[in-house]
Amino acid sequence: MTDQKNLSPNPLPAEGGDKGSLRSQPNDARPRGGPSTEVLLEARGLHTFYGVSHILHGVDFFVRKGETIGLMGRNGMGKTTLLKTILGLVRPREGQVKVHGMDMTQAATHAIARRGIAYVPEGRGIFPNLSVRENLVMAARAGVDGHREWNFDRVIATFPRLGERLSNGGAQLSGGEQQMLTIGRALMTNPDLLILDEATEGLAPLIAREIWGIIKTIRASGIATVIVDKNYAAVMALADRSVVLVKGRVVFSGASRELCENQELMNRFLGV
Amino acid sequence: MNSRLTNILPFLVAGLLALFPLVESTFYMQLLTKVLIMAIFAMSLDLLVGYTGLVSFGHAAYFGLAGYAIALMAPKYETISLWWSLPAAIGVCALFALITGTLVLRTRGIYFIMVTLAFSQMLFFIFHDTKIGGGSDGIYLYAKPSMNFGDVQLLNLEKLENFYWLVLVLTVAVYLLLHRVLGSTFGRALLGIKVNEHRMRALGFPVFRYQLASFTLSGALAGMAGYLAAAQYGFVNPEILSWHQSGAVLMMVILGGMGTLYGSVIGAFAFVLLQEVLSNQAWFGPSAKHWQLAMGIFIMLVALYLPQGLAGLSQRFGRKPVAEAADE
Repeated sequence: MTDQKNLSPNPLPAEGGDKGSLRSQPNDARPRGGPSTEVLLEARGLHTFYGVSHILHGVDFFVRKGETIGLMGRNGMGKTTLLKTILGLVRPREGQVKVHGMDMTQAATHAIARRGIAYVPEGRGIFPNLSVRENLVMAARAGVDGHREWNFDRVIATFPRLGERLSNGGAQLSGGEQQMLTIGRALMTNPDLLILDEATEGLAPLIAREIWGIIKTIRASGIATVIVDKNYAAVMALADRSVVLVKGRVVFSGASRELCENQELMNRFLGV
Repeated sequence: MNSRLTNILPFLVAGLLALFPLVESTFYMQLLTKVLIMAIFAMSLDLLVGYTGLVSFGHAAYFGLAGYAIALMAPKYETISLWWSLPAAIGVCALFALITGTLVLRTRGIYFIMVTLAFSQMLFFIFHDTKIGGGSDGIYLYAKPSMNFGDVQLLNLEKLENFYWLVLVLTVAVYLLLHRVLGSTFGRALLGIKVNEHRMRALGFPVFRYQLASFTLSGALAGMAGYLAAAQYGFVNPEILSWHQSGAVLMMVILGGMGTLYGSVIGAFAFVLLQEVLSNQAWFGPSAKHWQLAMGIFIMLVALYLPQGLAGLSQRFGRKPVAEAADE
């Protein structure tokens, strides 16, 4: 836990030295000023508990407009908990979540989602009792400022495989198709921020590659994304910024390149 | 089943049923009227159980409340006008459903079942133990509601076939209304909520409001059925609020097949007619008294071999519909 001077401008918080402290960690997770840095989502000092277990220890996290962020960390480090806290599916005991500058910490999940956040949960969230078309059309709505770039036709153009299966039930799709359907449905809500939790998990490499291609397309369309994925290389290749969680603390937040090039950090935080 | 056929089939059935009074006797017409009223009741519950994923065990509350509403509103020696009393009874039920809904929808699963049961039992004991509506003796309704336009009588509901036709028209109307509602985005959202509430919230759907809307609509339609039942028998007692009634309608929905509107109608037919047949002393002699036993066996067989209810028969023997595998 020494030898951290060479890591600036991303000073790492000392691990272990502050056990039990609820104060937020000093780290780089603070939006810096400058042009075109409109902050979409900002979470500060999040402390989340499951019962008595303290999961998030003062996490700061933010996403700028159009930014792609890789959220990384080994299993059980709090990635999904952080996402669920942001979406109001789990309530933080301390801290604040702002969306478009508005405090949404205590807001209902659906209200947070309607502020332009689309969440693609782990393990594919299709509705098996609805057809592919119904899954998509049901979710359709305009974005926060009324924009409607993503409609049924555009989603089908992005996922031609879904176009061939419109009247199939959701449960009849392959794993990859289900994942596409979930992402497509998220796009139908015209989000400003798309959160992808383990989007390629359990998919055949070829299908996973197809999903990565789609994520690239979405990124290019200007939608901010937060990507959680085991394939760190693919995440870092795509993400502008990477955030690494270890035991509920942000231990790295900075340009993906920096993390990628620093084998020691990769090894220590991600075990690769 | 091909979709053209499914579209016209309800009308075909309704058309055949409309012709029934021309050929048949009073007894069977009354029985069919009862079946159709229970079909409305079952469809209203199916909206909750089959489409919203909320198993209510207190649906008789709305059924019975509407029955008491018409009985208490009716003047003693005159007829009551259907034009305002039916909407009023439905409105009372909708309001009661809205209020109870805001409370019961905070619970889920087994607790939801218990709380809905508790509310209906509360209502039962209010009418059973107080003098409102004649206490446990019940209250009579001396005349059928009137359908007048100015001074002209449009339909004399005292005539059995007229009342039957009215009930048939309302059954078809409820079917079409629910069919329409469930085909809309609202209906899709309910189906989504049934599968996964969190997922729907994350998609930006205010789940509670959708459930409350569904609960209220369901209570209102159960009220329509209750109103008609009270009008048919001209008599209301606390029994129509009891949990037996809630259980019976739940059984019709399950028997017919949850999540298919026509299944509820089939369930109502099967349940009421079966009850009639099995308790027929002329056919079954002394064992007719124990018709519940035979009914129970029948329901168990359906549950075992037709998990999708009697409506599942059409899928079993007909061509497999496209979204068949969708039901888990």
